[in-house]
Amino acid sequence: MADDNLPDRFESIVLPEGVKKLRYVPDTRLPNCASFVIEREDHTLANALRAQLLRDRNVLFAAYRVPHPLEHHVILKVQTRRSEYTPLEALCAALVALKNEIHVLEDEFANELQNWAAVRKAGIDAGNAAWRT
Amino acid sequence: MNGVSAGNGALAPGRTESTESASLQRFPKLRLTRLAATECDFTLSDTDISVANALRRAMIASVPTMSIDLVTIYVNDSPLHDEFVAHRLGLVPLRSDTAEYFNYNRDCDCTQSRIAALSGNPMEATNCEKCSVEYILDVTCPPDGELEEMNVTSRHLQMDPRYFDGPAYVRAVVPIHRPDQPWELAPDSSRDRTSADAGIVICKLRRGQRLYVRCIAKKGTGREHAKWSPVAAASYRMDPSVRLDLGRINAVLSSEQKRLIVKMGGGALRVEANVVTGDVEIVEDEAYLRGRIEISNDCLRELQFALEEAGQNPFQLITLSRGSDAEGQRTFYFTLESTGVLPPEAIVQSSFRVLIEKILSLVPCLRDEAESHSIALNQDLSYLLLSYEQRRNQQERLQMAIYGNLPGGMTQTVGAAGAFGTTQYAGPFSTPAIATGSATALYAQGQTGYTPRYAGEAVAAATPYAAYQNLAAGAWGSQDLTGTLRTPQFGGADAARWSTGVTTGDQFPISGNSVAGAEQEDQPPPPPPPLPQ
Ligand SMILES: [Zn+2]
Repeated sequence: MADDNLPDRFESIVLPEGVKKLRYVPDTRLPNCASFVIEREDHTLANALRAQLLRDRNVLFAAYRVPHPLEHHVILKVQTRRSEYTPLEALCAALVALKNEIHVLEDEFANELQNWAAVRKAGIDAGNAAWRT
Repeated sequence: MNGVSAGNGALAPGRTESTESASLQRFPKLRLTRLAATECDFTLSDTDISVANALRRAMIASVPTMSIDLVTIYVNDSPLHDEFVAHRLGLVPLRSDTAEYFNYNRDCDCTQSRIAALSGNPMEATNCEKCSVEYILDVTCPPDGELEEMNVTSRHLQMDPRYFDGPAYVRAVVPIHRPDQPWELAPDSSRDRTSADAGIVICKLRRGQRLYVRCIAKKGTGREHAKWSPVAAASYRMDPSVRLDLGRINAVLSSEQKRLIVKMGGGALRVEANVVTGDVEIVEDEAYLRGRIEISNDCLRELQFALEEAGQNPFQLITLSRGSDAEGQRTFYFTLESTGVLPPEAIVQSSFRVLIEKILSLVPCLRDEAESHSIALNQDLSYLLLSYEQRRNQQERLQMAIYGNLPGGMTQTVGAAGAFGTTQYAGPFSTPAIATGSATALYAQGQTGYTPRYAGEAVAAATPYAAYQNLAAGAWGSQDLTGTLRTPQFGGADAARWSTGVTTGDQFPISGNSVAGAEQEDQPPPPPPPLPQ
């Protein structure tokens, strides 16, 4: 068949058997530094995490890369300023911050939909400039 | 930091780093500016571009929908070759608001048991009604008819009769013939006759030709193939980040300088003659004001030199927009256009859930890796993660400690545990709508992932329940499923899930009180009660 060596379409999504979603790879050369290999994720999560990590004052360096378009993982490298604050903890904090942020957005959106319904119900035109601002 | 409230048990006293981490929490704002049948605009502020982009990417590529994925071609007399027809069928949008009730085919019991048994051809696919919907397309252009040729459209796709007895969520997956196909209201008969409503053309047949195919629709995401993407467009723009004090710039620069700068502006700036003074003036182009063009660095540099030549301090006349603070926080104007498979607000809500699932999927591994590398994970942090993992329903979320981290005056009073009706909540984010009795609706929303649609005066919820009522009433036009719709056959969990909703009565069978009472973990949420007229 012509598509014998065609990779499965879901390869970029499904975590293969026995592969860890997240791997912690300590950096042997730099202090307080480690890489995280996150399987089956892309810029969507990695860039958001990197940005959250950089907001952390105890984080000295944070960056990610997608090593190859056919390898469906990202490598997130983190270095912290102090040995008491490990990269793992920094990632943990970033995850918490990002997750809470999305929860806030979720609540805001639900809230806005309710307001929208209320405005619609009150017969106010949706194109009303006052509502738009 | 930020006056962590006493009620927040997540933070142990005396740990500086934990409070610093907690202060990473931001409280972005989201304002809905437009909500139409297939389009929605909203602004996102107090956050940075990474969140905006994650949201955009999630909406495009991670929201699960249904699409035709496997096509068996029995007869194809059409001028298009088989792959061409199959591809076009794959791109037909299918109504996907029940996609969350489907399994992914690869994870479904049917596929798993086939793999376990290693029976048959390994290339052979299996599917069942928990993971797929089947359609039959059998069209013949009559050999002796009046038509010389005819269009085969999405309207000819008929659900496999085997699925008529299946669960209601399967029967809801029907082709979308036009993006604004009504969801809950009976189609306007005058609009129903427009050519746009004729369906999506798949191919053409000449006299005597036949197309007979069988299609299997599966659940998927845009990451796998763009046909599963629920959005036609999902984008954001930002305020221009450079602000020019054009009044003073125009006053000090010569017209040659102005022309030079405009030339380097790449369309962002224009020259215009001032009707009063007759001088040429730099004005900002509409495209720049709308954020479609940015002013290049070269142009700004030239402007800086010109201002210095004119003896001005360029840094007073060229400023970074206030919209972008030191942390890069800006306002993002999102535009979302659905293909019609999901209402736009459902796409947004689904993308939030997708992002949260992505984060949660890392949590177990995070703990494992901490253990295997014997790193002491900050207990506070793991506690936070744990507690948010359990933050499964809206009621818990209202009680969550993040609101305790809000700076200034955020208060929260939680009534008797478990009694949702008594929960009172007041704070910067609470509007009267939340603080008062609409908690039930909020609950239903958060639980189902379905958002009430507010089209027209009918505040019919876009829950599947409401949809099926209208389906039963024959609201889906020429599909004419009325005759074939039968009493749903349910078993087990499905019975509990659907039995309350799939009635043809006018009213939801559930009152507000029973909504508040029905809060067991596994029990599916009841539909939101209709708002009082
Ligand atoms: Zn199945």
